[in-house]
Amino acid sequence: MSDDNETRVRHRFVGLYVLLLGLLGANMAGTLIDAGGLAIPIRLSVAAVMVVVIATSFMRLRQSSALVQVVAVMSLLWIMFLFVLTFADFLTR
Amino acid sequence: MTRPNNQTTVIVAHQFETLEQQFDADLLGMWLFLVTEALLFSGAFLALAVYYHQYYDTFSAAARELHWLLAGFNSVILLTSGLAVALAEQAADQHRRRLTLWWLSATIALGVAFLGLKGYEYYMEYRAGLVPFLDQPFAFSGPDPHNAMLFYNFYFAITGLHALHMIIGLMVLLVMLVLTYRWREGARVARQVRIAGLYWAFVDIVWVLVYCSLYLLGR
Repeated sequence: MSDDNETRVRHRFVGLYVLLLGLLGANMAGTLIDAGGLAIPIRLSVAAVMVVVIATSFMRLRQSSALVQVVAVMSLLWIMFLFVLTFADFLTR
Repeated sequence: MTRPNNQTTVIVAHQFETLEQQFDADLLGMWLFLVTEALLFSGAFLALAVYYHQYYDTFSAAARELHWLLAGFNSVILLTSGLAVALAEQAADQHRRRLTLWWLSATIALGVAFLGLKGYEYYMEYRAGLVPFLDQPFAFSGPDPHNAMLFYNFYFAITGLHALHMIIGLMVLLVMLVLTYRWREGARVARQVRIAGLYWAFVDIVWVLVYCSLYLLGR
């Protein structure tokens, strides 16, 4: 890896780290505002964005092989099944 | 994909044809393990979500007793450790032994700081009478203490499970530190640090969700 490329990768990691801190700060600051019924979806969405940033960048999912990407997406799918089917039953009783 | 170079110095395990193939198999194995871990935590989060839905007011009141600012600071520490391990991976890829040692040490120090602060937070909750076990009187002053106790059971179970994963991650990173110090095969060290980094990043992800669901949702 050339020095330029090394520096670029390092800067990208630092930039994403700053982004994560910003999202964390936004989520914390959001608790001071009364967003009503939107509060929970907003907080969960910000946390979900943080998860995606960590998974795609720090865990290098974007650069991983197609097989690893399929495994990661499938795990998300199974977790969605878990939540959707449980709540489909629970909320319709 | 970033791969370790200097492949000629590495002994490839007999069941693989190339180092790349071995590296891909190692990564896939770690990802599959992390999927099982994600499902384990998902079960806990699902149960929390169901009870949160059922006892929203009580759970929110109980969540407001937690030290969310201290935990927020702890989140910063853990995210910083995530950056440090990513930089350790990059340094190991470049076969820069000293830099790898430095970033791994920083990651471990930040991880220990996180656990120390978490322990202090547990101590404060113990002093406030919010621990629903250890034969301590439950001193929650809000409404519906019986179901608030359920929230604190979730809180201690989920954060305790996360802390256990942190301890395992720290032990793995300590082994990486020793292997990096010895530096027998640069490419192998890079591969091992990368896989350890995956586990640490997963621990980061779990904490992001723990912090949001236990500390912030009820506020």
